[in-house]
Amino acid sequence: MTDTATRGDTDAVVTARRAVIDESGWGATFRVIQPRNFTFWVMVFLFVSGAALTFQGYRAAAEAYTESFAQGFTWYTLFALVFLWLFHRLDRYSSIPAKAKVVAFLFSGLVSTFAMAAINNDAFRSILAKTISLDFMLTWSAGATAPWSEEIVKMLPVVLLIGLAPRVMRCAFDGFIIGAISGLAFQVFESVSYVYGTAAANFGQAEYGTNVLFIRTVLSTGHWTWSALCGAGLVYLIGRPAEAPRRGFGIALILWAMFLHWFWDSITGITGGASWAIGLYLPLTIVCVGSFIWVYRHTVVKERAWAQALLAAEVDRGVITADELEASVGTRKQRKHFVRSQPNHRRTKHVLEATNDLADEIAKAYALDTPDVEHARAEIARLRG
Amino acid sequence: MTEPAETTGGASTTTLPPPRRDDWVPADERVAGFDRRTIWPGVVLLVVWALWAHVMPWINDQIEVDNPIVAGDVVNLGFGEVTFVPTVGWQLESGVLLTEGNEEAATIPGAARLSSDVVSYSAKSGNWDGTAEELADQMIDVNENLDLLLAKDEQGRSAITNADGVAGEIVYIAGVDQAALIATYVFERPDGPADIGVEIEVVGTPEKLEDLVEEIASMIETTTYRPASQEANS
Repeated sequence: MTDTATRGDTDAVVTARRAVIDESGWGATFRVIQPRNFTFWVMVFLFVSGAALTFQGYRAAAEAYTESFAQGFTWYTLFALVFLWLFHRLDRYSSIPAKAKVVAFLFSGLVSTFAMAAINNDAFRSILAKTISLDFMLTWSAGATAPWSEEIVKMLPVVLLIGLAPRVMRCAFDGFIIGAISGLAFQVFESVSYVYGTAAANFGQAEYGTNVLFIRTVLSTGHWTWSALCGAGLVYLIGRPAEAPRRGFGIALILWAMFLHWFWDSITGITGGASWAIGLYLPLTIVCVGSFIWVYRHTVVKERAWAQALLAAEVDRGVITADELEASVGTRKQRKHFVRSQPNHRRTKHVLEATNDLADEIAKAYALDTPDVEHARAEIARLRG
Repeated sequence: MTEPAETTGGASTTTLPPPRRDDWVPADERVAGFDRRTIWPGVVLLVVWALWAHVMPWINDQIEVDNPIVAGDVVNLGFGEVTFVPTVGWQLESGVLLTEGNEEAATIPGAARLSSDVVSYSAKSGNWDGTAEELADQMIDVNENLDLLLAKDEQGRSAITNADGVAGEIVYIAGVDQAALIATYVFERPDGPADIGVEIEVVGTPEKLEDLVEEIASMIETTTYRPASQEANS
């Protein structure tokens, strides 16, 4: 690196890149242990109480309904891994550190599910039974309780991470991803208890739990889609450094997610328990996933713009071409189209992936030309062949 | 994050702002040593936790159950086919009463809980392929694992029959302060996925159980399975 005039970036480029990095929080690290952070101590307290409750419940269930508990636990561990991988793939640019995602997952699963929602749900449903009637409670209480009781506590991991890692949680897309992870965690921890709970209702016979496991896997597009909407909605509602508040839109997203949750939980009541009601879950699933995709597309635009701004100077340097940049920060469709247009598909895919790596390294190096950044550039050249 | 050495960059960084420090809490941003900016998220978490885990259960505890059984009430434990006649004056805490035209409000598995003073009476129906004795064993096992029954020592078993002459099993379990009765029936259901088991758990102090023995016995005895088709024929 002797010739700074030709090889190094100019101050203007570095300044521009740092503006992007500062705004996006790209490359920000995440530390779990932060003694000066108030939210950290609250998290420790809630983790202890939530984990104790969860393990108590799970341990008793594992002893009383061993087979059913083992089935549920094993299946939903795999289920969670598949979805976490999927959400990781969606979080391509300025991605949230893995450690932060793990904290969000565990907080939702251990604290939101059993130390908050389960207790509040039981108490509120009991109040409905006592003040209105047992029949009303049986038919309508799930819909009257879960949408607010559960959606609110599933948004807490977003609040937690804003407290623990304000530089990581910069825009609505971050809320969207953490919300999805939180909803997934809630779903799998809850589903394990539904599996052994159904076995319990049938005197501990595991095969009845297996039926529920199957049904809840087919109908599994609830919690993570609603929570992703709520997570993005919460960031729009309160605003973040890179996301000016859009309060009306934020509230609308949260209410829409709660409405979908209400409808999902009230299908039996609405249809009077008719057998054809099961058919309603199909259009409802399409609406839930459709809403998820719509909010993803809406929020990811900002992340793509950051990636574009961070990598633009690499085109001037000749590291990547303008087309490669466009594809790398484009939609899945644009990437596919670009890859197909190139003679060597495999090689092109690798170059695009390496371009993402380069963006990560530039962000980590705070826009300086470190050996890591140079290495990332060299990798692109090597992969191009 | 380890900051890169400034000298490795190609740019002359003298005119650029210094790299950020993620872990630095400026002195004027501290409250009692904490980063001021991290207080509100922690407070939000604590407030929601307090409301969800403590305030709502407290409100629930303040509201008494006021749902007494009146003459003619029948508890529906599944499709209106598995039922029992609860004792007048007991409180129905959970479960569904049989109402005409709405028999399917309770499906199988179904459950109900009643209470009188300090005695609780829970009944549940579910799919079961086995004998009444095996069902009683299974439920004692499950309850021990769940630590739900404070009583542990089995005092005796006897055969019982319900109002329709179906045989069942009753187990009396005694503990230091609490005693429990576990009664089970298994009803044949040739056209269903399995037979239907009904398990009844009565928990209270030994004295109270003795005082209420006739009321409890009557509820256990009136627990029957009468398929709709059979009722139509009879």
